Amino acid sequence: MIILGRNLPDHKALKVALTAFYGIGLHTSERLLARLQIHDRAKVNSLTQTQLTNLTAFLSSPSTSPPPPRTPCFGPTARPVLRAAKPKLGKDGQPLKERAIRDPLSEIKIESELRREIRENIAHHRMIGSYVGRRHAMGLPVRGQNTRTNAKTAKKLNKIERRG
Amino acid sequence: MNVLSVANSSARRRLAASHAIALLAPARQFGTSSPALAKAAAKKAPASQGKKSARFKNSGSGEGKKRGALTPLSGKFDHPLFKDRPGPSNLPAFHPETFTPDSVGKAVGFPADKSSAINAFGVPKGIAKELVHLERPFSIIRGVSLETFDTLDKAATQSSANSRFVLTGKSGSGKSHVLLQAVNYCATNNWIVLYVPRAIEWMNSSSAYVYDTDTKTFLQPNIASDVLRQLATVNASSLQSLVIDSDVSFDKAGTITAGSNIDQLAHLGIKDASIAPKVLRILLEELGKQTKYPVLLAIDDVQALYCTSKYRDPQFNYIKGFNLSMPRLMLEYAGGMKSFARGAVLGALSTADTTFRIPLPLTEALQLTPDRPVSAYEKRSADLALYSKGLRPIPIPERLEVNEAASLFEVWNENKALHTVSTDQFFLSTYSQTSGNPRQFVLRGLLSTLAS
Repeated sequence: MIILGRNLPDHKALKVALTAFYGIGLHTSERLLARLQIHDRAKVNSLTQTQLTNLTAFLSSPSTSPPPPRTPCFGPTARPVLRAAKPKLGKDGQPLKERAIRDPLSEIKIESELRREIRENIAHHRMIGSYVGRRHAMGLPVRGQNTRTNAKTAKKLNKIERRG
Repeated sequence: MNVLSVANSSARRRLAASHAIALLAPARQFGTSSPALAKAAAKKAPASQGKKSARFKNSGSGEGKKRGALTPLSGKFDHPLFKDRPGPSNLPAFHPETFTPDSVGKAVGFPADKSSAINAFGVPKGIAKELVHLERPFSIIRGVSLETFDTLDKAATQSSANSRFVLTGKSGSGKSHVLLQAVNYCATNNWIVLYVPRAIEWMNSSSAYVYDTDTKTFLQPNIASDVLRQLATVNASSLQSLVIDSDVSFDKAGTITAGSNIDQLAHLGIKDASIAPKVLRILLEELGKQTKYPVLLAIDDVQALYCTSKYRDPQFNYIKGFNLSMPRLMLEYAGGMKSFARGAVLGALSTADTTFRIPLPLTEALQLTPDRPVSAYEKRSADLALYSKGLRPIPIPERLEVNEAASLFEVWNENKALHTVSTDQFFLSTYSQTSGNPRQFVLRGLLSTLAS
């Protein structure tokens, strides 16, 4: 199945297949599946049209995705509320705002947005003339690694216009 | 050991391995692939299938893939290597009328036809691994089995709220086997039986789930649909003779009028998985009102329903068992909040999966010894205590009696599953090495001969 230009094999577990996107690791993938109410062991070919649409909508723009729906549950003694609860009032008599739940998934960036952010960060370091910027420009390790030996990855990848 | 027996054993191992893999294969997945493939599949599907809900699609109706379904090995040994294999063993059939105190220690064969409980519901994973080596599923009648049957006979005349039991005992003592015997006993005794062989699979995030705003629970449509299919298969004649006493209406699936067969209601949920949870709930309520047939609700791995599941809500918090539709339904019957007019609830604990251990409220309700030191300050869930209230333990003896172990040994020997010389000395040494523990006796004693 092709989602946003990435070919996800049908037989693969969806949780693992989503890590093919740049910027999505296993933990983000698990959070995403929980948000969309897809079980952990779902395969790529088990997605329904609705789930596929929601997944694609999220991946195309994580920052504008709607917040996670509230799913109140109750124990054996409580009964579902048939009427809407009265809003709690603050000291000024106005209804209190519901405390916003932090949504980590709205803060993530993937693919081109993430690569752009990384390039901008490197460019910023170069512009201000920092050590980090100089090391990127020279293609050497940035974080204090040895250069007498090794440093091959840095020599290959560290650039001002780093691929990501 | 001669060449022929070696060849026999290696071929038998390969066959057994492939059969075991088939038995333990995961259940069918929900939904379809991408829209293009779905359109291609729809073109190929016959027109008589009718409309199905687009939201939850079953991969097939009718046969489907049966999780843990047991198919006898008879007829699979056509290769000349097995030409000296004996015919189907002459195990006595599973007839409730034949169970007397003298039948303790006797081996009986389970019914294994298409509509039998063992074939429709499946068996727990541990039992499937054992029985795959044998031609016909069988079990040894123990003293505790007869006590359980007597308990169920008494429960047949009263409400299930007064008959809620849990089989307890050490690891490998035979709880799942006794539960399976009880299921078959009730199925052959004209009860309506609902058997859950692997409750852990309702909790380990292996099936679709969706939040329902009406019931404020997370529905599990595919599991509900599977359970309805199994229920309708095993109890077909009983369900067809019962009628609903009030109209039941669904948004898209139509209305089932009062006086219709309960079987029609079940098939509605089988066709459309999206309404299956509601159908199952209503069906069990209808079964609870009728007094014609007693109802047995049998759950293996019952402790898993009391644990926190592996499912997560949209806020990424783990969902508790009683907030999932299927476990909640079972817990309500186990806790006595809902009941059958005639029948019983029988569960069996399991220690095989350490990610779903017995929670403290259930341990205390069953008066068991906790497996770790427990402080008086340790938090106990009031909700779980409520679902555990009134459960009575049925302790399973830790070890087999010698005559029971001897019958077990004889059946294995008759099926030529042992690849060593079967002598009294071998039997006694295996029995004493494993101190009569049923699981160890079979796995370490008998099945280990396959490795030779």
